[in-house]
Amino acid sequence: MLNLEKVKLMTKLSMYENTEGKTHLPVSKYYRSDYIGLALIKNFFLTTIGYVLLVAAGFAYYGEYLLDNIHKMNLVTLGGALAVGYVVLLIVYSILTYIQYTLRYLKAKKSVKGYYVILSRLAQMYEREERRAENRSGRRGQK
Amino acid sequence: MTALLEFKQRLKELYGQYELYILPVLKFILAIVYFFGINQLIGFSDKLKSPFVLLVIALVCAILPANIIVWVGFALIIGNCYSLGMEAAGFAVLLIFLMAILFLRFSSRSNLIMAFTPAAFLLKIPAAVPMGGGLVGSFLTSLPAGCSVILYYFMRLLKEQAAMLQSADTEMLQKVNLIADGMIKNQEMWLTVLAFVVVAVLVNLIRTRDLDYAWRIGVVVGCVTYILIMLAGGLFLNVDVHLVNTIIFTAVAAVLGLLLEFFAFGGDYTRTEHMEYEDDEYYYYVKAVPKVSIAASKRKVKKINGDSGNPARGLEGGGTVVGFMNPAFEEKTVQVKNAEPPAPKKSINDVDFEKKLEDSLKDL
Repeated sequence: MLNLEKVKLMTKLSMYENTEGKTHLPVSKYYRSDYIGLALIKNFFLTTIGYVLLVAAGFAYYGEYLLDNIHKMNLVTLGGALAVGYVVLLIVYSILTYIQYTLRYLKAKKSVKGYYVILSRLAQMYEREERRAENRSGRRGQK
Repeated sequence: MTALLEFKQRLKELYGQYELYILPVLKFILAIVYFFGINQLIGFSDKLKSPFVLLVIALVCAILPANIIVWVGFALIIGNCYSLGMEAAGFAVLLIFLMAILFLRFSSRSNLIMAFTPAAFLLKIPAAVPMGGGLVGSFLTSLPAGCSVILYYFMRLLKEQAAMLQSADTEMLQKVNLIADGMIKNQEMWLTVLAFVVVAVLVNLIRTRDLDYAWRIGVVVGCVTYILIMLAGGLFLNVDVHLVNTIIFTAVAAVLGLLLEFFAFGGDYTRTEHMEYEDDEYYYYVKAVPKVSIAASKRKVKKINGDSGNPARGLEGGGTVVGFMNPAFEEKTVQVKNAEPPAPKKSINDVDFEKKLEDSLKDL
């Protein structure tokens, strides 16, 4: 027979999974350090690619000027400036990523709490039903 | 005002009832507006310009998540740029890639605002974009808002320089320099980017404060700031700003902002309640603003056919449709002359209960 209480809980769970849970459930499966660590690694690669593209675009734009004046320029200073620029950009973006992903993780944890409460209640129901079924089969065996 | 509130209530009910269908339709409309806006600016590719292709793409967007619209728009921009030349397409890819890496990845949920920008610029009400974003979204909306301005001016530049970019006489490096110069040295673009970012942040900052009429204050401050920034740009930079037009169209954007407030917020500050209480751990200072709500009256229009024997229905068949202009029954006061007055009701004291009881017992 249908267990109405169980159906209600499962509907709630399914509704969460299809709305907020879509974004929050995958996040909650990570440890905080893993989640933020992965985001920082991703950020490192993206920022590096972005910086390389920016520098390449800059070189392309000032290409003519650079070709004309490269013999006059101190290439060590230019390289140093580019490296400092890269480090600064990386630090700024790492901080921004850290803040964003920490907030996202905290939000997901908070949101998922209710989901797990309902899930554990459902698990308890299943356990109770199993125990009942075992008891019934035990009695039949004794007879 | 009551009529508007009723209309809002009806819209809400309608949306609640048909959400499953209304949402894809709205996404479809937004996608169409965005794609036609792009094509209006840089419709260089005949295939991508075809309304049929655009309709099909918009239909696909209607069933996908809303943010996809923006990315499909990017693809459309790159496709159109490719028809103009490799240089333009390469520049577009680089621009979009840089924007995505440096800015748009932080504001993934607000990026949809970019779809409104081309249409807003074409309608000459660009101020509506950062204002709407600031009201409805978070301060991060300023990132896609600023990026969308850059993209818009990029498309406008391509439209203006299309002849040069398509010409076989122009060298590749010259074309790239033409686009790069057109972007970097475009003071109007940077001014508008600044205005968009400042307005979006400011409006959001005010809207999220604990102020009475925060939404309206946000709209007004946003508009004034936009006008002031554009005016300052017109005075100190080499930018041609038409003051009267800017003021008029920003006022139109303000009206749109107020409309947005009406539909998205609708708090009644005249009935605000302030409460103070405490528990073991905190003191609470609560401000509760009730929502303006009104029960929509349900008017049912009944169709009454006076002659039941008439098989033909509808207007042609002689039936009558009842409406406000054509009421079913006219109010008439009929006076009946020489008619006997109705018999007065019997008083309860005149009733012989004993007799009535006996009669009923006899029946038994």
